[in-house]
Amino acid sequence: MRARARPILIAIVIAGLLMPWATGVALAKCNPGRANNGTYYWVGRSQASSGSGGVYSRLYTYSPYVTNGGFSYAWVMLPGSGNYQWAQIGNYEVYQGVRKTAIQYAWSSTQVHQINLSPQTLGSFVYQTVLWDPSSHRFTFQIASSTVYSVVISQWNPAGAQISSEINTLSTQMMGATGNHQNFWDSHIYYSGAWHNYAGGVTGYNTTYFGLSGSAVNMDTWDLACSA
Amino acid sequence: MKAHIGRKALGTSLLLALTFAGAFVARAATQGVPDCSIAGMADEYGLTLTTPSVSDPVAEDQLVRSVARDYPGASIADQQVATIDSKGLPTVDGRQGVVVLLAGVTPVGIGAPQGFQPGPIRARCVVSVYEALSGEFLVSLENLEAAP
Repeated sequence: MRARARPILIAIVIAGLLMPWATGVALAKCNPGRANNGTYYWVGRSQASSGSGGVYSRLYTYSPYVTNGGFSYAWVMLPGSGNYQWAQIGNYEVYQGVRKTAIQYAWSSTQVHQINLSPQTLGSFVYQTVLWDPSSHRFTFQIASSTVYSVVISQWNPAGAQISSEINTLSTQMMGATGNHQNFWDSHIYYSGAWHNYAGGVTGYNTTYFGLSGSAVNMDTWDLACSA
Repeated sequence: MKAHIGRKALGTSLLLALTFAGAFVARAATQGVPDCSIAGMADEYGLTLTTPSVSDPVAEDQLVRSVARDYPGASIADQQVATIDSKGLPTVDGRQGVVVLLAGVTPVGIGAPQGFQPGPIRARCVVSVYEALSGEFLVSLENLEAAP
């Protein structure tokens, strides 16, 4: 009897040990061990397109390490041509593991707005979208093709689309790890009356700390200091 | 396992969304200095707050814990129990919640376009909404500006 039970017990123990790898979530979040320098960093792509009418991507939901006073954000964005001109949506995490789905839009340095919604499920893939209607100047934000907010901004028009991971200090982990990338898959941009494969070029990023791979349509980013 | 799943129908859906976007009542971004009250923030972001039927919205200590989790260091300046209707935030539509006006919020930063280094950001008004009884986070609204 004991001899029969032993393999079962061993199997249970092994299964328990493997569980974190199987979920791919429990091991997320690692302190990259870098200094808090208060500088913004991005890893992503940018495509210029005057009057672009939308951008969407299928974002993986990752949970990074965030230092006190920092944030880590993976997003899609319609930017304008000037500073403080953008409309974006994505996965957002701040200190102590507080995660949200965050919408941001701005039209001047004194008009920056953020709307935080419930976070997406860890490990899930969710389409996140920003649309722009040129006739009404309305920006519409969608999660899984459902509209969650819209706002009319008449002060600027989109000048392209960006897809990126972002941190605001080097001591925070960029979304993704070497063995568990932040995916931005099936990315598309709307212009000239139709949806097109996203074709953004890689924006200069710090290759000492961060990684990027894949095409513009299926891009991955990660933090080189973290393995999972 | 992460799997590639194409969604060709999505483009059509998004086009439809564009077509029907005019059906939504959106907020016009023409506001100036905001009215930093619960009513002012609700109006700015398109929330309609009406008197609810719940008598025990959220335990006070639960509310304080939720606020401390979402906005460390902030204090509750005002609160209102309400049924929340919205033209732009379907996640809160028709739900009974507690709307909390926060003071002392220090924003951590903003999701700026690639290459743009914004300076310090400060919060003018922040409202956070929690579902009645459960205390579940529903939405928070932040009116921010670059610190002069």
